[in-house]
Parts: sequence; structure tokens; C-alpha cells
Amino acid sequence: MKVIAYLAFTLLSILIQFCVMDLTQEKTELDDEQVAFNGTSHKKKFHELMKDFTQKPHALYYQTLMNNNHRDLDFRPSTKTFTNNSLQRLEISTIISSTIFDELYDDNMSTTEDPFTTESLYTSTEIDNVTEISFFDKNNKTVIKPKVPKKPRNKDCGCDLLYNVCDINCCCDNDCSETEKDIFANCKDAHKKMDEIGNLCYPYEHFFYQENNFVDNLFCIIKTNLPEKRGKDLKKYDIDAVAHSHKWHSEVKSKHTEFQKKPYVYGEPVWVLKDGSIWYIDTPSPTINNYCTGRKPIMFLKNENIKCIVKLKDLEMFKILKTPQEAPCISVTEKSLNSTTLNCSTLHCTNWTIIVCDEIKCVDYNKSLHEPSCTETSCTNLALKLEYVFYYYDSKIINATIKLFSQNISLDVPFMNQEINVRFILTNESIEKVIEVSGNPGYLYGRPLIASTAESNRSLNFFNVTSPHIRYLVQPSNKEGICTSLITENNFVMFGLNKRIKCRYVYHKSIHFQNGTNICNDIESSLEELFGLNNKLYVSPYGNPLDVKDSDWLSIQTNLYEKDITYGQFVTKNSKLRCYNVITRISYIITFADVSKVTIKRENKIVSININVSARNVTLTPEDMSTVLTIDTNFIDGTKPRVYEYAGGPHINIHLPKDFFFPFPSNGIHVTKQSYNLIMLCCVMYLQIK
Amino acid sequence: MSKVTNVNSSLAYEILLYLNSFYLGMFFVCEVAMGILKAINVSYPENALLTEAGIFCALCLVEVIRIFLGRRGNLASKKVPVFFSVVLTIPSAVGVCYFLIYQTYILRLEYIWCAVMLIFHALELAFAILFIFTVCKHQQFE
Repeated sequence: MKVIAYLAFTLLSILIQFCVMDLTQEKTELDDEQVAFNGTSHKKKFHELMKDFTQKPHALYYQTLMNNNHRDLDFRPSTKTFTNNSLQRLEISTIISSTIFDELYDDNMSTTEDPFTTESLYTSTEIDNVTEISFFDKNNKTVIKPKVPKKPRNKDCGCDLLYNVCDINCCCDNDCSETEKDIFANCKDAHKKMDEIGNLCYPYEHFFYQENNFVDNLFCIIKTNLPEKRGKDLKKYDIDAVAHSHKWHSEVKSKHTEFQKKPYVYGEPVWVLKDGSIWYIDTPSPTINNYCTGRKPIMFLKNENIKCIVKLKDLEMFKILKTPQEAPCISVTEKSLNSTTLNCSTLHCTNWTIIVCDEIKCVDYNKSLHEPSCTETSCTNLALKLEYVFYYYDSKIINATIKLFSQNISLDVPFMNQEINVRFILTNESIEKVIEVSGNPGYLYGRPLIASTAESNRSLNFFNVTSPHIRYLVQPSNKEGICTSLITENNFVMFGLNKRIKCRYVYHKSIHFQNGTNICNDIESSLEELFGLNNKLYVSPYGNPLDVKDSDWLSIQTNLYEKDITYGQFVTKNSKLRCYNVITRISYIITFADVSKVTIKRENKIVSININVSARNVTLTPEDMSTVLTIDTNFIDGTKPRVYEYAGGPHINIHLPKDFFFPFPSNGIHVTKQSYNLIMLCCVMYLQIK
Repeated sequence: MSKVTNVNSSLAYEILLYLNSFYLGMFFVCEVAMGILKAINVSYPENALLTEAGIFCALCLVEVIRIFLGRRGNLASKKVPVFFSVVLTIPSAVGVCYFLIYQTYILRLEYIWCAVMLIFHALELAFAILFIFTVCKHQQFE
């Protein structure tokens, strides 16, 4: 009985509570209706207002109405045109609405700004007779639309940049009319937001507000009592900012000029010995623009890549060719630490090795062969790109090499781009014998794709310096407009680098007019060779192929075999060769994914690589045996978002003994009433547990 | 020395207190839940959350004592506990008013249940005063 009474009272209390809640909510909603308006309610209210006005033309009534609503309503000027045959009702509405609009539009509006309209309103409402209505008729003929006073400039409107001109898509710009705001992109949404705020429901992130949702409405924050925000530091600026800010130096001085007799440490300049004095090596560098106007020292173990614009006479190679033999590179050794004199007998001196490189190979610099020379139009053997390579081993620089990448340059261009690379290698091996992986273990962006043509032991072949097989995936590149497929760094397919190359393929062999198909097939074969399709290629899934099994290397899939057969024929009239189904486009599609187990580090693994070729018909002439090729590279990130699996809840395996419901022996005694009750109780318990 | 001989318990007062005890439980649970919801979703000024939590705990404590004294006094027809219950109605109502008006973020739902709580207070105050008058009226001295 007590339990039933308890439940009954609980239900009653809940019932009372909900009744009171509903009552309060209805009251709240009623209150809200008086305050909140959206776009449609504006119009409705406006029409109602106009309707009431025509029915009860009394000044006090409208003034009261205006005062009540002028903060919430956002009236727009009437765009209706009125004809002379309309009744005074409409005309009164027009003027009144305009006047109301004026009043509502700006709290600070003075009646003197628009005396005519204001005067009309008050005249009509004060007298309130037919004569005044005819007076309105007269007014209507002269002035239909009252002028809308301009709002003062909104200082908090960040997008209002044009003075006295409406800024596009700036909803808070007071220079914009309502018509202009209507055609803007987001002003309607801004109005809607304003309405929501006007409805006293703060749109916090998790406190959603939906107009007709009762439950969500309950979770609205209807009032806040937050303290006024105050900046702790009332000073708007720091007077001492000048003192502790970085400024341009007033005089040129270097902080790297002091030589200390100690072994090299990271960031120290690389020293040279010249005429018994210690100097540091420096390279040109851009300072305030892209021109090589400044110089900075080569820092020990700091690899650099400097690009700047320079005049021909200021090319760095000229300085290099003048000085290095006289100024060997020095390293401080233990022997020199105990000595007071500084010369090559006490210091470890390393002479410079200058080599000249072209696209294919590098050779030692020979003054007679490689000295730069210029004619009136061009210069030869100029190195716009040069590279310092320092081999540091056993606590001293054992080799200092300068690579000059020579080329011919036209003198038409007064300025040229100069590129200087500085590289340090901590080995006594030549840089050509150092194998570089493309990541460990996953690929790093911008590193070449590791590939192999070997049928077996591909990983071993990669790390074998003497292996004849290729190490990196090569694609044709554009060299002065012509397609080249040299095994250089420029031609490597770099991980993550999507690009499209267009270049012209030129068929150099002489053509015979007997059989067009043979020539076209030969062109096709050379194109396949150019694209590297003549060999079976494998790509390492990881940037470091050390532990990658042969079976894990990815075979490049190609649709070459799906292509139609190539054939050709001469068009005898104009001696043109028409080749059908020649490869003109090749597309590398490489799919990779992040397979790392932790989120902080990516481990890019290539999961598939496809080469798609596209063929078309090409017409060649004996004068121009060339066609334009397109090479596309697409890297697709196929990483799937991580899916977390949560452990299931604890499973309690509780069950009653098998003989729980039949605890009586088989030669059972007569079941008493108590036993019957016990069985019933157990059944109820079982059903409840279930 | 005086001795109360008549039984003057107010049924309406008892019902109100009884319902209020359930309502207080609901109020406590919902207000805590709402506090957690607000603490997660909106930022509070420094110490405001702790202050509100403290006031809320004090309010609940006062309410429990108030209802307990009210019921005890009513059932035993003793005016002193009821008088203290009436006195405790003042801080309790002030506390509810704080949550109704002055807390940092006021949700519409809180508006509703604080208002209901105040209605309880008002009714109980009225019946408690009536009860005290009744007890005083029927008091017999030996």
C-alpha cells in the first residue's frame, strides 16, 4: 500500500509539474510572440498595421504602435506605385508607412530632416477629416515617395570600405538600400540570425534552437548575467615595442668573422687559408629581393639551396675559378691545437676539386676546354648552377668539390637565375656511391619513387652501387621543348607531386616511303622506350626497400595491351605519313595510403601504380617528324579514415541451475500450496530477469 | 508548562510538503545535469561556476531541512519546527530566485522549474502560517 501511495504521489507530482510547465510555456510563448518577428511576421504585422490604420485614423494610436515596435520591426520602404484613381486609404497608407519607416529606420532621426513627410502625417492625424484627406490627395500628386534619410555610418561594420557607396555583400553597410541587400548573397541569412538573437535564444554551439521544437526551445539560454568584459591591460600599445623589436642593421657587419682554433661544429663557417690568413667562404644570397645583392657564409653541416638573379659579369662561377686553388679549405685537428702557427703543416688543408657537369656526366675542370667564352650573341660554358659538396670524415673535411653545371647562354637576357647548392656528406665515399632512400619506411613527399627492373633481389639491387638496374622511376621530361628520358634527378617521378608535362617527340631516323606501317611501328617502339614501357618495372611500396620482399614490390599495371594495333600509310599526294593508334599520352596513376599505426606520423605506402596510355592518329611530314606528347602524374591518397572499435560491455553469465524449477525428486511428494507459491514466485522472478 | 492535546495537522500542508520532497529530488538531479551541460558548452567567468555550485548545494541543504522540519512539525502538531520551516523558506526562496534571475546562464527550462519551486514555497508558506495559527488557537493549557 505504501509503495502504491508513493507511486501515485510521484505521478501526481509529475503531472502537476508538467501542467505548470505547459502553462508557463504558453505564457512564455505568448510573450515571445509579442517580441520576436521573422521576415514573414514583419510583413504580416505591417499589413495589419496598415489595415488598422485605415480603419482607425487616430494619431495617438499610431504613435503608440510605433513606439512599441520601432526597436523590433525592420520596415522597408514601400515600392508600390499609386495611381490617382486610388482612394485616400491607399495614399494615407503610403505616407504613413513611409513615415513609420523613417521613424523606425533611425532612432536619431530628426523631424527636420524630412519635414514635409512628417508634417503630412501629423496634419492628417490631428485633424482627421475629409478635408485633410483631400489635402493628402494634393500631396500625393507632388510627392509620392518620401525620402529615406541615410543612416549614420556604422563604425562596427568591417566590410564598409567605400565611403558613401554601397559595398557588395556587406550587409551592415548603411549605404546599401534594402533592395541592394536583397540581391546580396548572405544578407538574408544575416537577417535570419538577427531574428534568432532577437528571439532571445542564444545560438550556442550545442544549444540548438529550432523555431517549432518545444524540447529544443527549453534548452535555450534566455538570459545571461555575464560580467562586463574588460581588458586587463588598459594600455593600447607598448611604448617599449621599438626597443625590443627587430630592426634593419644600420651598418654592415658580420658575426661570423672570428676564427676559433677548434674543430668544426654545426653552424660554424667553413674556413679557408689564403695568403697566411684565415677567411671564410661565402655565397651570394638574396637579401631584400630576388637579386644576389648580399653574401652569406657557408655554414658547416647546413645544406643550402640558394636561388637569385644576377648579371652575367657577376656570376659566382667567375669568382670560384679565380680563387679556390690559392685558398685551400682547412680543418682544425689535434695537431693544430697544440701549434701556434696556422698553415697547412699544422692545419688539415683540402684543395678544391672543380668538376664540370652536363646533363649526363661530370668531368674534371680543364681550363682549356671548359673556360667560359663569349661571342657577340652568346656565351658558352657558363655555370648558372653550381654545387659545393663537402665530405667530412674523421673530424676533418677530406674533400671539397665544386660542381659547375655548364651550359650555353644567350646574351639577349641581361639577368639570369643563378642557383647555388651547398651539401655536406659525412662519409669518405663519393656522393655518387651514396644510396639515398625516399623515406623510412614510408615515402616522404618530394622524394623519388624507388623502382627496379630486376626480376629478383630487387632490394639488394637497389642498395648495390654497381647494379646496372635503375633505382628510381623515370618519366620523360621537357628539355627545351623536346622530350628527353635521361636518368637524372629532374626526370624522377617525385612522390606526391602531381604534374602534367607536354613536350615534343622528334623522330630522328630517316624515313622510307615504301612501308608506312613499319615506320609507324618503329615510332611506336621508340615511344615505348621513351616512356619506359619496354621493360617490366617494379616499384617499391615503401620509401625504404630494405626489408621489402620481391613479392611485395608492386608491378606496374599498364593498359598498353588493350591499345589497338599501330599501323600507318603514306598519303602520296602530299607525302604525309599518317600513323594510326600511336601513343601520345601516358598517365601515371599512383595510389598510396597512410598505413601508420599512430596518428602523429605518416607512413605512406604505395598500394598500386598504373600506367594508362592513350593513342591517337598522328600525321607526320618528312620535314617535321614530330608530335606532342603528354605525360601526366597523379598521386591519389587512398587513406581511409580510422575506425575505432570499442570493447563490448561486460557480459555477466548468470543462469539458474538446471533443476531450479524442478527441485523435487522424481518420486515426488504431493505438491503443497506453499510449494506451488514458491514455483510461481520463481516464475515471476525468471520473467523479470529475462 | 504547556501541553498540546489536540491534533491539528494540516492535510494540504502535508501533501504540499510530500510533493515538494519529490520535486526537490527532481530539481536537484535536473539542475546538476543542466549545470554539467552548461559547464561543458558555455564558458563561465572565473569562479562563477564554483559559486553557483556552492549556492546550489546550500539551497538543497536548506530545502531538505525545511521540508523535514515542516513535516515533523505538521505531523506532531508542533508549531516550533513549522516556525523554523517558515523561517528557512526565506533563504530557500532567495536561493531559488538566484537561480531564476541572477545565475550566469539561465535556460528556459530552469525558468520553469524555479518558478514551480517558488509556487511550492508560496503555498507552503501560506499553509504553514495557517497551521501555526490553528495550533495556537487550539492550544490548551493545564
